[in-house]
Amino acid sequence: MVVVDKLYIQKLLVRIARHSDEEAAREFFEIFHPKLVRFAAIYISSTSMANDLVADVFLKLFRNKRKLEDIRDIQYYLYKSVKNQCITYYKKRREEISLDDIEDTGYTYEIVNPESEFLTNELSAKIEDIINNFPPKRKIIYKMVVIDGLKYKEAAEILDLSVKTIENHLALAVKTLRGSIREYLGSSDAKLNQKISKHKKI
Amino acid sequence: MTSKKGNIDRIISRTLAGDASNREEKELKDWILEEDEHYLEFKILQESALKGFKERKLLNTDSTFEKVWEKEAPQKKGVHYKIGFSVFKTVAVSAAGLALILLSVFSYRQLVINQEISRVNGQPVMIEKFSPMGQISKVFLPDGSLVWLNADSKLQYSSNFGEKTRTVSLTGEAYFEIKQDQTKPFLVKSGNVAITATGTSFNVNTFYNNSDIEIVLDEGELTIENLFSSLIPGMPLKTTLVPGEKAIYSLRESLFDVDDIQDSYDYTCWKDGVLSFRHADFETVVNSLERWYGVEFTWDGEPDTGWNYTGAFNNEYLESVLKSLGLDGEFSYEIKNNAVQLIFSDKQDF
Repeated sequence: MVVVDKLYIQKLLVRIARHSDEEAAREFFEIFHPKLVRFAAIYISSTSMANDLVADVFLKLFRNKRKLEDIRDIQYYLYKSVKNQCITYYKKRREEISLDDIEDTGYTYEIVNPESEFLTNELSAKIEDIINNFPPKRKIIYKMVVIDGLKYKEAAEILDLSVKTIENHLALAVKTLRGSIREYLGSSDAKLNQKISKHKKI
Repeated sequence: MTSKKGNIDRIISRTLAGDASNREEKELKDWILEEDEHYLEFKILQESALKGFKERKLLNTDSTFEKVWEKEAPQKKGVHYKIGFSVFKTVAVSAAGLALILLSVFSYRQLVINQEISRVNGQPVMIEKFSPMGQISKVFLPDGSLVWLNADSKLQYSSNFGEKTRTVSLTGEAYFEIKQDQTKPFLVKSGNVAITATGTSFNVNTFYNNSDIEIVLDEGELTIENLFSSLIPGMPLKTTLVPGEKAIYSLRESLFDVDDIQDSYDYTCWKDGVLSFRHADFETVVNSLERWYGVEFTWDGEPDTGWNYTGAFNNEYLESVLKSLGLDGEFSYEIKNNAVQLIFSDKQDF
């Protein structure tokens, strides 16, 4: 599973906090850096600025590495810190940060190992396509909650949205995805039909 | 009907997010059972969500990391020993007094200690790394492999280590993180047991049950072999371990016993400064504490025979460990320098 294994991350954090383990720090950085830069980019249109803001968050984090172990949920903490960093950035420039400013960063997501038991390459591509064409807000919500595993409440807090809004966006996301999957299944795919009959017996 | 359909999207998204209630899970089940297509729709969504997205590295990830990771000031300048053809780098020893360590938090030292080198006329020499009681050390081997040496443990290897073979001998307990090299398997010898690995992480504990050897595999694969097995007919020669398994080699019976384990971290957490016990009897607890804190135990009275202690201490003072162990009032204790006396409350007076 590519979704970040919490226990594994915890182990990395222990290595960084207690032994200043550079290798662990690098691995940890590589897991979260791209994610966070892409997240910051929904608020900050300049990628290099988004990169600098995220770098600041890591710099602070590593300076207090002994405290790393005390952070209860590192993923939530990182998202939250990056968001705060973005707010500070706008404050300094005396600009308001508003949610309507969530921009489509143009980044297209790709599913890892697209082919498996129920997924075909074609189906994966279809799903990717739908997610990538979600409105920007829905796209980031789907990514944070369904893929990264943040709680509704956490995502709501980070994005300054209500839980209800998160819920609505996700329900709509699932609705759209299901519609497209149904359509695909309807276009008579022999392989999948076989699978249905196989699973019927269970 | 439409409201129900809208509802199912809500329930599916909650389930995908791992946030569904029992009632919602039941509702989802009912919906899935309604039609085969429902089952497929859900499975496809679930699979695509579980797989996650490729997080491609950004172009500047490496250079940004260099900027945010401030290298620690070097602890003490490295000392170079020149032996034969190879040069070994070691980190100098800060020999904090044992007494100091005794009562202080058992701190992890990323240091190599007590090097003893004996020379034999230009021949490869034996290099010995020793971690005294009350201290854990980290040994960097010339091939890039990493070894954590637990307290009161010794690692030996030849100065030509890595040239043709990679062989070390171990007394005590160590955790190995072996650098991958298919052409030169890494061999750990302990007593008459040989462990062969190519690129794995594993823990070897020869303190286990006094004389038995316990091997726990974290990652990769291992082969364990009795070096003298060919001498005794009918003896199991070899066994292979996969992650999630441990092997105990019984010295008395000369055989391997392979068991499943739940979490290998229970066995390897010592390298992070966590002292843990699993169903430990009194003797095991005392032996561990002696090594961990570099103290010596004596006791008045008889400990209860039914000791079965399970628990973990994360970088604790000896005193708080003793306090916690004696909580049920079974014993009180006195610490004098590096001597610990336990006084069992059910002490018989003549």
